Amino acid sequence: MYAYVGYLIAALLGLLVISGITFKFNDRRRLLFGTSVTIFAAILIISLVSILYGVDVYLFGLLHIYQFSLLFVSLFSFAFILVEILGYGSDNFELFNMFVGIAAAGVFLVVMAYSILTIFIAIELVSISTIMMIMTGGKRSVESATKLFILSSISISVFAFAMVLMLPYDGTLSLSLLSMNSSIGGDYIILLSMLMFIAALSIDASLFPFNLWVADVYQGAQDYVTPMLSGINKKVAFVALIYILFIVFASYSHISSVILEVVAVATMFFGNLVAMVQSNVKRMFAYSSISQAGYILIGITTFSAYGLEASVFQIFAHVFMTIGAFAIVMWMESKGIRSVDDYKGMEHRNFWAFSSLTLIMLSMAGIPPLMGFFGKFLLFSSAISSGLLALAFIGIINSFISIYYYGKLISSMLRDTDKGFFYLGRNVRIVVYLCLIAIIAFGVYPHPLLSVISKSVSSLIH
Amino acid sequence: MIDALLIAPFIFAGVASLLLGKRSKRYASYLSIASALIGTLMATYAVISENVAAVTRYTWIAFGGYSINISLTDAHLNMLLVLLIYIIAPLIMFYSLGFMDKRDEQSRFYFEINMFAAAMILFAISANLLTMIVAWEWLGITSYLLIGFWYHKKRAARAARMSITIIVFGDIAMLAALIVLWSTYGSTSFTYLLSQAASPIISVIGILIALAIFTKSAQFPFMGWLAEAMEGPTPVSAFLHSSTMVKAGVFLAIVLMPIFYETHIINLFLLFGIITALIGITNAVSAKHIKKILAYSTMEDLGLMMVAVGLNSIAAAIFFFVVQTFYKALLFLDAGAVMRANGEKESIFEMRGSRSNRLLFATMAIGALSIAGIFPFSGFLGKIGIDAQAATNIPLYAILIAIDFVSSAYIFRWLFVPMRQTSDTVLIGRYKRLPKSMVLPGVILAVSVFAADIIYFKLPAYLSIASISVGALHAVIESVAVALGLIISYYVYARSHMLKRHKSISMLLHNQLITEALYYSVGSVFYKVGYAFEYFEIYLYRFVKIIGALVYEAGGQIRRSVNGDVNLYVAGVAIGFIIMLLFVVFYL
Repeated sequence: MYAYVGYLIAALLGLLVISGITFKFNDRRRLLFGTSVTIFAAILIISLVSILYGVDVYLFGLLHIYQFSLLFVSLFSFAFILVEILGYGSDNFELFNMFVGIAAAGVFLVVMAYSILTIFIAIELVSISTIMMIMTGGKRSVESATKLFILSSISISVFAFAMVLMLPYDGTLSLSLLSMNSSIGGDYIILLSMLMFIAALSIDASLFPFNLWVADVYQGAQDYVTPMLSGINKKVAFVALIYILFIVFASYSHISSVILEVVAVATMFFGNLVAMVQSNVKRMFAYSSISQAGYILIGITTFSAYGLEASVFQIFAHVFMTIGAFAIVMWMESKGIRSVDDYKGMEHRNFWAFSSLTLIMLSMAGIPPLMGFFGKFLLFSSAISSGLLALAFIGIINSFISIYYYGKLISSMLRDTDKGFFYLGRNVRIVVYLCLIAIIAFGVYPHPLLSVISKSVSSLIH
Repeated sequence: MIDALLIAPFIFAGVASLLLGKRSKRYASYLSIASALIGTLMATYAVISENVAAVTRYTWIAFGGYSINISLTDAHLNMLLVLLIYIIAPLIMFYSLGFMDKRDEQSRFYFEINMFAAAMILFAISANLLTMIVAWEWLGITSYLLIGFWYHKKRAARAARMSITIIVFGDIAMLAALIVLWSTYGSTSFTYLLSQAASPIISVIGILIALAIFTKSAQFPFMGWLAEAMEGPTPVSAFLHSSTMVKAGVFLAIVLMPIFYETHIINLFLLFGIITALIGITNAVSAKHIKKILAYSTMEDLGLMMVAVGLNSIAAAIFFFVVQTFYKALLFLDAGAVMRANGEKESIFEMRGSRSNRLLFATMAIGALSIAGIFPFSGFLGKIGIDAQAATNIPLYAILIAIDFVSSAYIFRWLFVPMRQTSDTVLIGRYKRLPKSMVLPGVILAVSVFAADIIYFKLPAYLSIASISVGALHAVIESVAVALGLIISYYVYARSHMLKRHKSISMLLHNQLITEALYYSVGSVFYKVGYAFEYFEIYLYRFVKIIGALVYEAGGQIRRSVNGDVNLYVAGVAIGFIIMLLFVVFYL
């Protein structure tokens, strides 16, 4: 009945890619920007309305459009609007816009996938367009693009091999709940396949020890790409991980849960400990985003509806926090403000930059009434209610550690300085305000978002 | 529905003044006054309309089978407090128009004071403990910001730190009460709590909440921050001591009175109330700072309110609660005006000539007469209501009459000393040229002090409580005590030659000898106990430092391994995968 919603979204994606490619014939930036943002806004509105109406459509046997996927479609379309605004001022916006269109098509396909094959192709689409995007940044970015290319190719080949191992058991490769449950339990080949899926997606989701590339790539990428890398690409890998673990390998959750617990602990400690000793603020935020990936994993390891709700909420929170934080930090970087010492006196130099960054960092550290607090609260309480007390405790210890480096930056920003006012770009300001509004609004009153999330999660786990 | 809207004017004005920033000029104040007046209309409507004490619930978080609610009520008592806040708030903001004349402070001041008022409104309309804790913490933080508003002054920063340190004790107690309540009954609603029969759990909750009340309402032994908080701007002091902040604790005590009565915690209120009132008057008699005298007087008032709660007389407590709001706001606003005219001097003995501005002096006199408890003024009703409740207990009654006597003496000292004649034309000129906005709110409040008398007739019916019958005998005894205080004060201070003749009396009255000595002796005992803990603390500190250094070192080691070499990153992937594989092989 609602099948046209699926076609509509697919058509909009096609339009997005085509309008991106037209830059060769149409060099008016404002038009390109306007088209892309309008299409993303249209997708955002369509997906929000469809969530309310409870749309559940299968398309071509490859896509499944239902509440859970629509939830992420709406999140990522909003995130892409932010990324577009950030990139609008850049020198080669036309190219960037085209790659954003292609990457967005990939992101939405991953999110709406009904087949592992769709995930495979779409993730490749995302990685390649991102690598190309970084490439356009000139000599400085080539190194990080190459690193990302090498790691992505490893990820994609491992993913392909995992699919091959699965084929004898489930030739359809479909993401339906029935598929793996009927297969032979405890078979090593299928377990190997599961491990390879986890390893492949861990590279993109930046889980330890598959995440050593993260800081280098984040540092080398342009100021409008890093927010996207951390806010979108990483979260897409999480969505794919959720699909694979919760649907395909649902009956192996007792094994994957143990593995992911260890990975979560290692990721949190790795991210926080290294962030603690960083003096470069951008690298610090890169490592902090790694530790946030560890927190997100806590909810997934519980393999319960509550845990998944908590993880999804934290994904939402971190998308807003990381895009906002990187938007400011990358702007500073381009003005030569790099290390923690360079941030000295930010309060006098630009009060809005200071207060926004402080609020975002407080949210990341988990101070109420900001969104990050509720994310962590839900994650830890879901872990406790699933009996993973130690995991929750380690999460809390890591929150302590994280306060050290956030506090270090905040106190540095509050010091006196004799340097004058500096200007924060208009597109950066708009993005940061949008993120802050989301962080504060959903932190003070999380119920609307939470009720939508719990509805969507129950559509994934019946 | 209206209950949620009541908070909107303050939030709107606060956010708007923050966003206006340096451009705000006078707009922030005009906006704040306008939105507070709209709030006054709403609150008046809420009080007049026939409401049914409905509780509105909003789901805040629903998660994992639990749902945590924000619930708001429009019960009569709550609406009364809302109305009081909304009567005082516009006046305070109007006064600030003249008081906060520095341009660059406007935006911050109006943001903070509006947020503070919003917190108080949320407190006033909260119907469960969770909502109340949110408001309670919010009050604590905003009051910290307001007390330390002039943060560049060392004393203001210290006072703000002191207040937040003490208040945090209460916050922790409150949080503990919430946890006990939630884990025992699974509900935090006040109506549910009030419907429970007395039990040990209820007693524990009651004591924890009482502790929080004592910190917020500055009861012994948490009363120290109240006088220190005078370092904040005068409008803030007036707001803090009249309808907000310190009243939060008393209000909570009144709301939860049945619980305290059943668990006998009410006797604690009586005991600590009297101690606080006594400390308040002894300090007020000897203090010289014009605002600190009033602060100690607030301490006394709060003590008396606690006594009324302790005597299980809800009517007497609410009477005094309402009337104190008006005269205390009035006195603080006038004190600020006198300070402004005298060039921000603080000691009353350095001030002169408050009679030069007739209007100001008239309002000061009305406030003083009311606080002392002279017949037609509303303070009389408030005090006599409490006295009458204690009449059966002769020692308590005697103490209360003595408190009435002393409070009359010190408040007329407060009035008479700055009144002394001056020939300084500059000073007189400054009195004459005081901004209108600093005098007019006082006039309105002076009228309210009279008008507040009608609550004696209207309030009991509105709140459906038993009214108090006051015997003529109590009225006479109280009036005599107060008159005595007035006469003594007049001869000692208004005719200052008395002071010169009796050095010993002035020594006693001018120095805070007794109370300071008491503080130091009590303090030294605590200090000695604290000394024993010091060694423990030193070792704890070293331990924490070692842990921190170890964690930092670990981070440094790991960082060195991430050296930009892509081979290493690929190796990381391979090693990670192999470890996972081995794990699964051995795990199965």
